[in-house]
Amino acid sequence: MSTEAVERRLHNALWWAKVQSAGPLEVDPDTPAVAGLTRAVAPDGSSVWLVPTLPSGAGHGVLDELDAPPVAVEQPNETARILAICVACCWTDRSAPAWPGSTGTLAQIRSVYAGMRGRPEQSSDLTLIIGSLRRLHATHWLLWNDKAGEVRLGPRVITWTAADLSTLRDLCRHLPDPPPPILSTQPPAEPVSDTALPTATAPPDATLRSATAPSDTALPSATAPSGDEGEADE
Amino acid sequence: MSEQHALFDPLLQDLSDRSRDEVLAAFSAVQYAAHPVAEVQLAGLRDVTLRRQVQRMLKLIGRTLVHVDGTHWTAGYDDDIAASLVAQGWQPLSVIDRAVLVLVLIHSVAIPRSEGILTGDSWKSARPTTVDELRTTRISGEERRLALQRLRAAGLIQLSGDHSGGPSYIPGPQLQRLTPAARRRLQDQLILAAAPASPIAEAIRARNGGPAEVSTTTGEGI
Repeated sequence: MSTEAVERRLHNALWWAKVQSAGPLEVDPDTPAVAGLTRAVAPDGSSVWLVPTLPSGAGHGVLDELDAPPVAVEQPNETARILAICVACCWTDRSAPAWPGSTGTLAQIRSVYAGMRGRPEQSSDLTLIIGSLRRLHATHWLLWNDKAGEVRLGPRVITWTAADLSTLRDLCRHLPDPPPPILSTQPPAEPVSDTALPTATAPPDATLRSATAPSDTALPSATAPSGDEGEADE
Repeated sequence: MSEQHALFDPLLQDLSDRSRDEVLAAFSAVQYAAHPVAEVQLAGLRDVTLRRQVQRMLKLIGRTLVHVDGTHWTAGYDDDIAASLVAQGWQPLSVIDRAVLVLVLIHSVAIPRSEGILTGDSWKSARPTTVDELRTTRISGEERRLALQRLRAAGLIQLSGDHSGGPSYIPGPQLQRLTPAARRRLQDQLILAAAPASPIAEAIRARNGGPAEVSTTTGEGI
């Protein structure tokens, strides 16, 4: 193997090790490409996220067959519910890819959550919602701004396939419509996407579940959550 | 989905469809299952030729197969890659998370091992670390609570089944991903931290070729 090939292999292996240990990484757009890591350009174009992708046939599907579960997600049902709500709030142009989507607000999430439960909001709801938002932020399924109370879909959603998006589109249709967002800041300019519209119709059978049990929840995130109320830890 | 994969396709393209499926299944199992998987469960682990392909795939992403108890397999970071990342100062775990993890490892593994209760070099243990044992004036209760949540979510610690004295913790399944060299490094680091003046610490420093700084590279070396 040539020196150049050896160096390229080392470059790839080091970056892959980094994204496995810290989750998707936000880097300078000038960072050289890494084989197998998809580049999710930030909405303002100032950075890119490096997100691992796997060949078809690899991933969590195998674990079900083996009865060998991944590292458990805490409060899995609540976490999946909040991810679904955020998809409904932030993926507003459902004919476009989910990434980067648009900014949603905590008020929208609370409204859809109460509508989904079919009852007025209860005091414990906010605790559960914030806990799930922080958990999903830590694993890069969402980018949650605690201070502003605003959320975007995380860079991991760039790996959702056309079939995944088709399933999610159906799911969104079953959720209550979110109220219009009232943002605290000016929304960033939406980039023009040249990605082809997803056309596949065969939904995977576990899109949401696999979406909330990401492969490297087993590995800590560089942007760890600042808290997670609602869970007794001590 | 049958999209091209820039990293793995050169390895996979020469395999038959069946071998490709077996290799990908074994790769996924060792990478994503929380616990090591039994060799007998997967042809990609049982068959030496297929297992070699799994190892090649893992090497491409800085990982390697780790044999557990002679019958199971998992995947961990390749020692050379871990060393390169440490040399670059790569450390995604915060200092508080590392401190709490080290306290669990000391109480659940290092102390029982020094008492002869635990044998071998595994970092698996059923001896729980209680919340009282995690109390220290250097870390506030809130910081500790959040660190415990993050470490649990990462699989680096887990709740023990013994709740008689309140919640308690044992090392998580991720610790089984340590390679033999990483297990030894972790043990050396704990000795250097806990008893830096001991003869055994002196021997570790001599073996490492000089006075060693104690660096807590624990979590992400996994």
